Amino acid sequence: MWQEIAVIATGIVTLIYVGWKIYRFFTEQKNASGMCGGCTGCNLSQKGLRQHHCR
Amino acid sequence: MRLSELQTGENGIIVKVLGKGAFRKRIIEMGFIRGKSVEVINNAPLRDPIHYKVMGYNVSLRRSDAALIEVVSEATYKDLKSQAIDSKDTPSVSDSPENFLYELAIKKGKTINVALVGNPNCGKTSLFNFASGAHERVGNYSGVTVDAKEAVFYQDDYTFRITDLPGTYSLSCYSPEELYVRKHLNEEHPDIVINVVDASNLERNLYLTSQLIDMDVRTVIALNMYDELEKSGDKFDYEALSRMTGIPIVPTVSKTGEGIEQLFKRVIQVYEEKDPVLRHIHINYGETLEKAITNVRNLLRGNQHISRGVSKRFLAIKLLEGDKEVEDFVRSLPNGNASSILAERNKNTAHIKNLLLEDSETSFTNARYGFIAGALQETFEPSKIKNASRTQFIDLLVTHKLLGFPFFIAFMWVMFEATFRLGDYPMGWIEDAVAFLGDLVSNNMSEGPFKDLLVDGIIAGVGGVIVFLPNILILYLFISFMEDSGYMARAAFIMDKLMHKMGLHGKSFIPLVMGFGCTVPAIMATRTIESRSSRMITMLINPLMSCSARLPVYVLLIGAFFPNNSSLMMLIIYMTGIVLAIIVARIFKRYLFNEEDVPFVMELPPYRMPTAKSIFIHMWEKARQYLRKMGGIILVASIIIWFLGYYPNHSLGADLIDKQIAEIENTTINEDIKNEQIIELEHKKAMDLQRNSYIGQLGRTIQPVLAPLGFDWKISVSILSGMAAKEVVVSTLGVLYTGDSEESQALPERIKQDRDENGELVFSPLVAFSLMLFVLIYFPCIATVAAVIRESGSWKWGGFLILYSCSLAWIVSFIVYQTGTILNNLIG
Repeated sequence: MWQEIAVIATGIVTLIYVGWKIYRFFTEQKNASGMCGGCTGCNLSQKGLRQHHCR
Repeated sequence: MRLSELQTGENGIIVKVLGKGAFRKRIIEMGFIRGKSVEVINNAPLRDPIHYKVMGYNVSLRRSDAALIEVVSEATYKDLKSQAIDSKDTPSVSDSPENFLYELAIKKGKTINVALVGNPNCGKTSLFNFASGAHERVGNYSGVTVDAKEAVFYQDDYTFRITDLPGTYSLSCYSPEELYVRKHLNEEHPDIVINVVDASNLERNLYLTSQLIDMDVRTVIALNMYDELEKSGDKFDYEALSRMTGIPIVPTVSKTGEGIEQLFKRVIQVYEEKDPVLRHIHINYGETLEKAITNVRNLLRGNQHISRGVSKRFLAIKLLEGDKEVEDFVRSLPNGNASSILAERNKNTAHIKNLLLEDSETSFTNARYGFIAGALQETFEPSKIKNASRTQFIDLLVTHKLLGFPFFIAFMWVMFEATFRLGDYPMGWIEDAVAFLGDLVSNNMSEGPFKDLLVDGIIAGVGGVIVFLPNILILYLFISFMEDSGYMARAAFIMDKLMHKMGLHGKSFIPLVMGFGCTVPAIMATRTIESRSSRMITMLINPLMSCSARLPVYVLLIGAFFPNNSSLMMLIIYMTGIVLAIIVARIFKRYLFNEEDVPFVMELPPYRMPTAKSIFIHMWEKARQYLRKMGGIILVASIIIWFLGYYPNHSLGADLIDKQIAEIENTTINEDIKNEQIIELEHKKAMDLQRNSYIGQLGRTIQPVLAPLGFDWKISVSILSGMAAKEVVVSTLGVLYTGDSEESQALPERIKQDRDENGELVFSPLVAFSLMLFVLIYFPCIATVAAVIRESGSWKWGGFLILYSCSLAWIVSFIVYQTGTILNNLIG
């Protein structure tokens, strides 16, 4: 029984995480400081770099 | 806060006076010095000037001038007291506001804002890293810093806030970096500018210095890479140049940290106005230009809306040079004399052209180089016996028009060979560790869904990807070496001709090569490209440069199906990406972006032996990034794939097989035959359950689209999940191919042995090649799409990237798989 509960809990946490990531993806697109669209893949995103508009 | 923000009746303590030159000197002489109290007599909104009382005298200051004086006020005291902030920058909050504010002003006055400016690749970021202990990315080619970075550090009781600005050759307005640096200097008013000058390339580097002199900012020159100048045998009397320009010069070697402490000691001296050589000079542009400057400057001085923090001489020079941004600034001045200023400018530029027979911008440039040549004539003595340098010798080989390409391909081959061969050993150790962990959990946990989640979902998924960490680190070791040594710039040089054929220029090559590491920063590095047309093409073809996230897919499939030709196969995959990028760029240039490019001169930095520290930083960042992905997106994707593959956990077919198993168990046939039949049925049941799971249904829905490429439903699902991140392709294969085989078996073996319901092998070398090509070409990840949207400023280009890359991937894989199948049938 405990295994079923653990699986359900893992599923819920995963769903919340995915939902949060999707929310961040769309909000970061609008947020000037989130230059990587929510991606934390490389060190650029952690530096809090100033947005540099050069378009 | 600034003095202009204080309201009538409020008191403040002066921290420092920003701004420059005569204005700053006069303000200080009026009594606005650190630690002194100032009271606002009358500050009416929208009214100029503001009346203040300082040292017992009433003085009036224009609002824009008061905005250049930093103060601390009672409001600051209350804020800090309520927050009970206790840091190195603030004194402990005592009950006496006067004492507190005085101490705070003194402490804040010892905070020096420093901006690092210099040519690209002059070592600013290395200096920034060494001074601040940061780990910013450095490379031996231009354009590594695409944005400002800040750090704080302490030395000799002073706090330094240093900002590393993008590299720029001048302060004109031709590139985003130039504008950005200029804007930072004019709007942020750093206390001191450290002009990092590459000692091995003085003439070009001092051009920027000449513009800083025009801007009248307090500058200290870091004469960087001084060791290379000494080694070359050249003699440079930098102290004499220092006296001539009024700018202190400190020799530094940023990669070893030599001279950096002295540099910041000198910064303190300049900040405290105690440096013996510090003075402001005017570059003499010659009679004609000087007259024109004076005429325009006099009109600019008459406009009270121009802050005194900005040098009017600099503005006049820029107007005469035809600087569009300064022109717009002058036009935007309220109630100003913009039209008369611009008319005066036009009159003077026409006069310059008549007299000097060249446009005024060229005249200013020539005059600056004349100033530099004159200064160097007196202070610089090149080595008389200069043998061919090491750089020139190596360049003979690596930039040779015939030998350059084979050398480049040979380097790439060695890189892939090392990635496979050296990476194989630690990969095996990690594989064993993952298998051990899987067996440990499997043998010690009771049967149930959570055990299945741990073993078949998390350990199989994450473990399947983590084994490739050593390969990725070895690849990065080589990429870092290429970048730091200066070979990357040579590769760009030999590719320049090819780039022109692509409709791009050499400058696009840097972001493209960065794309071999990670596509997201590579797309951001396209900011260094002035031409929008080239920039857009570079962004859109960048995903075709195979990023390191795709490496696990290649290592897995090449290791399983092409073990004897691994490096050759890897080279083919990478070269396919490059060739496709060339073709696609040509098409885009022809039909989408057909503007002409601005001319570009490519520089070749001298070779440098990369330091172990710099390479370690690159690799450490990559390892951290990879492990973070393991604990994030790959873990989550593995769990989701497992859930979708595990449930609903029953099917009609499985029920029938259960009945068959029960019947066989009740028969009296030979035990061995009975067990064999039961194992076969169990296997069929597992396949049936997986086929009818949610992911099986999803896979079978999309599989018809990908079937012509040789992909079954499991591969189709892996491709779909790989849109989140390319490593997820491997983790998905790891999860989906767990149920069919023994748990301790390595993933390459499992995929090699997998069979469909007809008993046919799912994977063949041809399918593996087709899959690698598909993974190479279709867009690398959602983060890349987001980066393209952000950098292009339009969702349209993000959508276009998805559409074109997926279509191209399908077409290429289709051609390869179908041609391969026909050839196979013909031969065999």
